[in-house]
Amino acid sequence: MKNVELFVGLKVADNTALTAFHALQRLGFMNLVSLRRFHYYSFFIGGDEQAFKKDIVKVDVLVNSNKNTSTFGLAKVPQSGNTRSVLVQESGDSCSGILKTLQGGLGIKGLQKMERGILWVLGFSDGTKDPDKDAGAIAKCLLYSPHYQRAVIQN
Amino acid sequence: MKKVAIILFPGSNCEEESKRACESAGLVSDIIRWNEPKRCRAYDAFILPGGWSYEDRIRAGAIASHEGVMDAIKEESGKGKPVLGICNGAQILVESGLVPGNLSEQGKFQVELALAPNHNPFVSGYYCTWVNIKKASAKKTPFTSLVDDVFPIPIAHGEGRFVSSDASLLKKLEESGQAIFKYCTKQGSVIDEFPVNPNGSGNAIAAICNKTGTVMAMMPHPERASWMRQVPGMSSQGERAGPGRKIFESLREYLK
Amino acid sequence: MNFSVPLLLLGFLVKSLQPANLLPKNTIFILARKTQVIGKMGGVDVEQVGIHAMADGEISAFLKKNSLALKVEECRKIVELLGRDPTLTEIHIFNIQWSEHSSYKSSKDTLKMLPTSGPTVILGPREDAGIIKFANVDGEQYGIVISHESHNHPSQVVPYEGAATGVGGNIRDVLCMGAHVISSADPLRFGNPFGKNLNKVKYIINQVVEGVAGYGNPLGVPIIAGDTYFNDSFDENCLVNVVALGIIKEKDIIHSAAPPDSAGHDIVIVGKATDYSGFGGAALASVILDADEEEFNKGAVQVPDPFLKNIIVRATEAVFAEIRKRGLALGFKDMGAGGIMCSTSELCDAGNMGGEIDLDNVPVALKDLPPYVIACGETQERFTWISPPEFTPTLLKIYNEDFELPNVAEGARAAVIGKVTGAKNYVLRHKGKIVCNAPVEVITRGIKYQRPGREHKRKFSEPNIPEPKDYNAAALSVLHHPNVASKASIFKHYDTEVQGLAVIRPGEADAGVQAPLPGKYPAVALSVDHNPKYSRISPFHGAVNAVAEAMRNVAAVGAIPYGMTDCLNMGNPEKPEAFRDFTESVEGLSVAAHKLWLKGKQDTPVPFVGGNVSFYNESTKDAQIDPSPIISCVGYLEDYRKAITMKLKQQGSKLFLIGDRKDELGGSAYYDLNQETGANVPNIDLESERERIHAVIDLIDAQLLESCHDISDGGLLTTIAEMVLGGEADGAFGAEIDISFSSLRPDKALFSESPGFVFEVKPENKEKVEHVLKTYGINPIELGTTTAGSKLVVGVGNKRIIGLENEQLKKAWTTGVPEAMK
Repeated sequence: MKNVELFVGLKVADNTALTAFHALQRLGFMNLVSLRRFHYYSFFIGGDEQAFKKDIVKVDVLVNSNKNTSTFGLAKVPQSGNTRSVLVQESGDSCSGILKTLQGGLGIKGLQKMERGILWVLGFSDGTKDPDKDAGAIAKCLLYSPHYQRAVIQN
Repeated sequence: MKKVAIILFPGSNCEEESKRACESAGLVSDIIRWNEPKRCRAYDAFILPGGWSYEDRIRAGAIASHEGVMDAIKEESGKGKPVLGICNGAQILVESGLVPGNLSEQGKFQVELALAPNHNPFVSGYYCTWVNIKKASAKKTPFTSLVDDVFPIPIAHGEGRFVSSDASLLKKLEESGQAIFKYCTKQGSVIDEFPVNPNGSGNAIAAICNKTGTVMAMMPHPERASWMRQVPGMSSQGERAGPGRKIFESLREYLK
Repeated sequence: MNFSVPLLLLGFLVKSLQPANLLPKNTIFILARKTQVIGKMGGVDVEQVGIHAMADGEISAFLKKNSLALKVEECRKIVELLGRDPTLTEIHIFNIQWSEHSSYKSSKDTLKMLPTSGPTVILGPREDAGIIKFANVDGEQYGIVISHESHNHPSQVVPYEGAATGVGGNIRDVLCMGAHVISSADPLRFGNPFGKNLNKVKYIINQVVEGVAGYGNPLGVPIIAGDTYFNDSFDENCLVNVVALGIIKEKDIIHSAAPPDSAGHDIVIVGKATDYSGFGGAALASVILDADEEEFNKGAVQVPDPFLKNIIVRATEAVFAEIRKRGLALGFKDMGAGGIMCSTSELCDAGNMGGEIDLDNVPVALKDLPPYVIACGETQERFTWISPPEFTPTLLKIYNEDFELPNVAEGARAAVIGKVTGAKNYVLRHKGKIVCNAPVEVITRGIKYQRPGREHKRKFSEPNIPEPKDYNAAALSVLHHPNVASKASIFKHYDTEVQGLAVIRPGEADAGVQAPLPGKYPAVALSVDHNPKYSRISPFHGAVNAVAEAMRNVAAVGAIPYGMTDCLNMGNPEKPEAFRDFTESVEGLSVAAHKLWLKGKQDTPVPFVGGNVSFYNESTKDAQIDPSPIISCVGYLEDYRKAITMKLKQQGSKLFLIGDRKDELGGSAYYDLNQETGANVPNIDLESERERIHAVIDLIDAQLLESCHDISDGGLLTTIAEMVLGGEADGAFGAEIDISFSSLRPDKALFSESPGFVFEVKPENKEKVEHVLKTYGINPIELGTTTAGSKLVVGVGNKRIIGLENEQLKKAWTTGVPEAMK
């Protein structure tokens, strides 16, 4: 099985990310200089990866090219070398509904399993000493609820 | 004269009907904005009304729970003043730890619960319908002394499922009488299954309070069932008191 | 709408006027209004586009490069009007002002057919919303403010945002009259969820519903009515219409005009910081969608922000309270198509004033926006006030400090951007240079076309359908048809209870009912209707049926139809067949409104107080939508306690039918299930229909009916089944009926969609009911009785043909739409 990761963002203003950013600033996280939000999908496929990638970005429920950006890897945020990602996923999310739709009605070939979540990309100012710690604090403070979600911090 | 403050957060939208419901029960109330926290100390009880503070961005109630006015609410609650959170107000209370209301060693409210996205096989996401609830605990609270029956009440939310990472917490809360209302049939049977339980909430719980009972987070909307006019099939009874009014009348009695 | 506009010959017009039928096709008329003084033609400080020296081909290339929808001849008209070449900003202004969406250029003349005034009208279709008379309570005359709009093309492209901003824009129209918004309704038309475009269609259905919910719910505006149809003609052009209602005291109405003598007043804009979003949206609406032209769509996505709107509404209502306390007159208008330019020019012109605006004072979200984007962009959640200078500081404080707009959304605020002037010019400055300078009425007057119409060559015929062997199965499949089945899986996404004013909510009855004055009995009823298949067969009859059905629905809860709105969703008006569909539809609306006159006021039509025209609902593959004149009807109910629902209330009642069952299954759900369209759409005898509607209102007022339901989609069988089920499919009583009264074959009797009503009468009221009906010349048919145990039994004399338990009815009826949406 191959793993294909899809990151779907907004071409237009992302009000949620903007509000979250301002809320975090008000909470004192002044070294946070940028915040972006993506819908994250992780697909496990058998079969041709290129063909799958071509098909999957045409699926309206995942990507509407009029308002969404879609990439298969996450480019580094240009303004800062100190970025951390926080992937928030709902515990016990089997994705069964969307998986059935993709495999069935939409006829996406080769799709065996999938995961999804919200990916927050935090950009910290250059002087930030411990971005991992800050990302963790931000995640705990606002970005997820440990009672039904889990959060993983990555570079 | 005792007064109730209805806190308008950015995005709340039930403040006017909550005020009318208070007045119909003989309670004096004022709507105060989130950016007027100093006014809180002049009030004797608080209602965090329904709505969509910050449009439920990230998670319902998450951002509002950090709003400055919540420090004032916590302080006033510490003096024993009743706080009722309805729907989004309930979500804010849960996100701020005021419900269940246990303090850490450093004296901070611990967030031990969440109101998670509904589990609903009929309509996914936000769901608006009329349900029935009943008191599930003998615990005395300022909001329930006059409530004694099964009664109809509407819900309208997408994140109404009480849940905790501590799998035993909901049971413990039930045992300590803090699970105040549960979803049930018209006849009063609690059935933890859709459609009786409209959102998959743990043990069909619709409202939870803190240990002393003075802070309650309830997902259904009593202000939307305060007149018979509002209850489906009952509108011919006009302006007579609806079942939800008892919540506000209980508060009036408590504050006397 | 109610434009009685004399054409004026102005000195610089080149074409002379001739009788309309001698003119070549698509001649442009310049519409002018009588003005005493025309502002001086002004000079500009920036580069002009040399239209006058360009050849047609060059102009075409220029228009295409700049994504402008103007035609070459329209560009030349601009030069004529201005007396010089226009600036780029001015071209963009005319691009929007002369788009179909903004100017009604193809529809203005036809719309004059519609009645728009009368004793129930406080304000007709002149400003942003119409106002219908409501109750007089404690010496105060109240009005119901209503607006009805479409947002079709954006919803096809980005269904969530299109639907959400459609709701938002329409609500703004009601708010800006000074009203408190109390509810909305969503008539939706989607493609075939089982047809060749099923994936796209299902995506759009789900996202549109999410968008409607995602805007109205956070804002706190409940949905009280709606309807949904699914058919192939909407596969590539969905229809998203929105209706919004508000309540206002007549004395508190705020007009969309600069007040009298307001020279020197401030022009203040409020709301979101201006950005690129929606730029060209009005022009987009007037362009036929082509899947290959996605580039054109970029930047046209309008981003909804109901959170910001929620705060703006509360701040605005605080402003209302303040100006009413002080007795001040202000002008107020929302910003929609054409943004700042359109709202400010129209506010000034409506008050017979001019305006001067400095675009540098507009709060912007991005640096270096071109002046035409700042002026014309359609960023959501914005309004324009005309404020006396002494009040402006208070206005700014309420928005910017009390409600902290800048903290709610980036760059959101109230800001002074210009002044109203006595000179009737409209002047825009950018970086100190004048980029637009023209008489304000040249900006606002619009243009008009005479379009030719031609009848379709299509022919429809009645099919020969064999009689069903299993009537139970036939009944269940009709109930299961998505156009008939319960829409609960849609409307339960919507908060129907917020504000606590609901008396009857969606699903319970034929119309939604609210008591908008808490503690008082007067109520407003609302229904939205139109069956698209009827108009496919006959645009005239489809329109007549829409008006009749809307009024029947309002009457079925006991309310008197007081006024209507019409949103005319049509194809390409440049095609004669499509234009004929439009004119025939409007004819049908007019005839029905006149014949189904105001109750108690013979020959006084029920007026249209508002509406919208949406043309170009067609994709380039020549797939045109069914002509869709969607109607809303507002009803007045003196005492909400008398309102009744459709659910059967007891056993042992009599069931009455009024409205003959005729062989009228053209466009019906039953024919559709047999893969037929048919030809015999209900050809309503409007005299009888009127008597039935008025009789039902009287019967409910006299409290002689226990439940009532009209007959429409799915015919008589569906009406009875829905009365047995009730909105929540939890009905406790059944019905046993005999259809031998009808000479039609049983399936036709059961599924014909001829208009009518079925109502439930207690045995002791039977005589009184018959007496009332007699005064209206109506002989009811006694269909049967209600029974204990919710079973539906249908017989033809002694022969039973249908016997269905509640569980079977419920399963068919409640799963029809969820299956379509899955």
